[in-house]
Amino acid sequence: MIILFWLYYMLPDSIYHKLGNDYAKSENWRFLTIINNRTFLRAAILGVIPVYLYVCFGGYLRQLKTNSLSVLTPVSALERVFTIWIFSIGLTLVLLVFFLLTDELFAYIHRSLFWDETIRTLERNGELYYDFSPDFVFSTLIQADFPVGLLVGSFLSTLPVLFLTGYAMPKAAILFYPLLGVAVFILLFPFAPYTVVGNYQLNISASPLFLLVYSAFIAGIHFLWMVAFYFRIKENEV
Amino acid sequence: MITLQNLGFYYKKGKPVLDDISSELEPGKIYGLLGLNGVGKTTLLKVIAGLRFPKYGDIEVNGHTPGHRSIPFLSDMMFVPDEITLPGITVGKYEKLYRILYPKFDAGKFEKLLKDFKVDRAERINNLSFGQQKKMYMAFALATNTRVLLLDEPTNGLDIPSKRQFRKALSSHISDETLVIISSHQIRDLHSVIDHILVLDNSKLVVNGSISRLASLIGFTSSPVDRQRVLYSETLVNGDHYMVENTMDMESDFDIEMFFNAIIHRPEILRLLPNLN
Repeated sequence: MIILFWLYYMLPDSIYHKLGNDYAKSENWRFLTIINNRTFLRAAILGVIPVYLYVCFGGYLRQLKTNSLSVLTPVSALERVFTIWIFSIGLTLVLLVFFLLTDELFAYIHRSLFWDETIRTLERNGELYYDFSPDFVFSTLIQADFPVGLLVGSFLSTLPVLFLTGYAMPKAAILFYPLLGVAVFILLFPFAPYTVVGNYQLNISASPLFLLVYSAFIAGIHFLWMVAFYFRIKENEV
Repeated sequence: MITLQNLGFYYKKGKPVLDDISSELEPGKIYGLLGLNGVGKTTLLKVIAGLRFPKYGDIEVNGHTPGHRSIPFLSDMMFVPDEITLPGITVGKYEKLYRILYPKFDAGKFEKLLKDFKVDRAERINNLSFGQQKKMYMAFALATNTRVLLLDEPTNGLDIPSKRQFRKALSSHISDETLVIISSHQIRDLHSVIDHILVLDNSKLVVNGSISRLASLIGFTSSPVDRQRVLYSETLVNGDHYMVENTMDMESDFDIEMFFNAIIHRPEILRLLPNLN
């Protein structure tokens, strides 16, 4: 992750700048990169650690399935399902905490490294009262109102299902999970209260009623998946 | 009691590993499960343990169906595989966590076995060698006092003193209620412990008999004998050895290895040995 950020900020010829970005050709390319509010790219780089942690823990879950001693431990299938589900939710929360902490850390590092340089450059250009909106790299993604909207929420709230699928059906998990996230989004979207801002921005408001429907829907997905998982565990041969 | 009724299993259709096996295994006995490599010994143990499900036929272990993996069944059965994967915690912690799952667990017995096997309970399991991990898990398995104990190649990786300790521990473990099945290629390690033989050959259980019964039917000698009585012979470093029909009540040490070789190389011998399954 550190390497990815380094590439982003230190190498004008890196892949980030070649992807539809003209900053590399500009003299003060670094300044322009810093004040560019490419929050999605930042989220993608920060997402490397949670993905890495998932890969680490995913192997442990698979070992639980293939180890004859754990299959024969005198524990009921219901307890196994429940325990692994709780583990999956706990792991999801840990991944989120890691994500938020690294986001906070990198915002701090950006402020330490680039704040003075940015202010000086702006003052040289006559910009004395520049409006640093929360979208800038000096703020965290949460402050930036990063669009943790319905689509991202659909993926995050069904993340434990990915872990369970990785345990029970590892080959299907990688294809299944994106389909599930998109399916949840499509099914919930008609019920989501939203407003259109400008020509292209969609703001979905988190009304209490919608949150209730959303929570019930996600709880239903988890319940159905646990039932499927319960029977998958019972059929597991080692 | 383990009851196998027309039991069958295959990994690929048309290539049975276990085919139409019917037999009863009684408590109070230590069975040696013998067979060539790949014949299905481990598979049979796994089907009995509930790790694999029979493709047809029935199996019952002390009134339970292993495939249901009910808690009463699992807490009264221990399966010690050839290769063991254990968590990276200390031996003492492992005992503390898992003993509560086995109602008849004997902590004193576990402690004694650890001492006999020279395994330190303060040591982390993943720091132990393969042989030490096996000894540790074997000690745990014996200490659970389960009625069914399935051991797959238990002496693999054990040093000579540990093999002796294992034999001693196993002999003292057996009671009228316990049923032990040991699958092993290293017959010499377990010769003194086994009292019943199971032989798997070509997906069938061809022998299920007590050693005392077999010894009443078969004798072993290295003296020259009447050729008509010889069922099988082997030429070893120290001369010829013969397996003969025991028509004269001769007393000899039952050579399990030679008996197994005879069954494999001359299956027709089984026709001469009545009611062996």
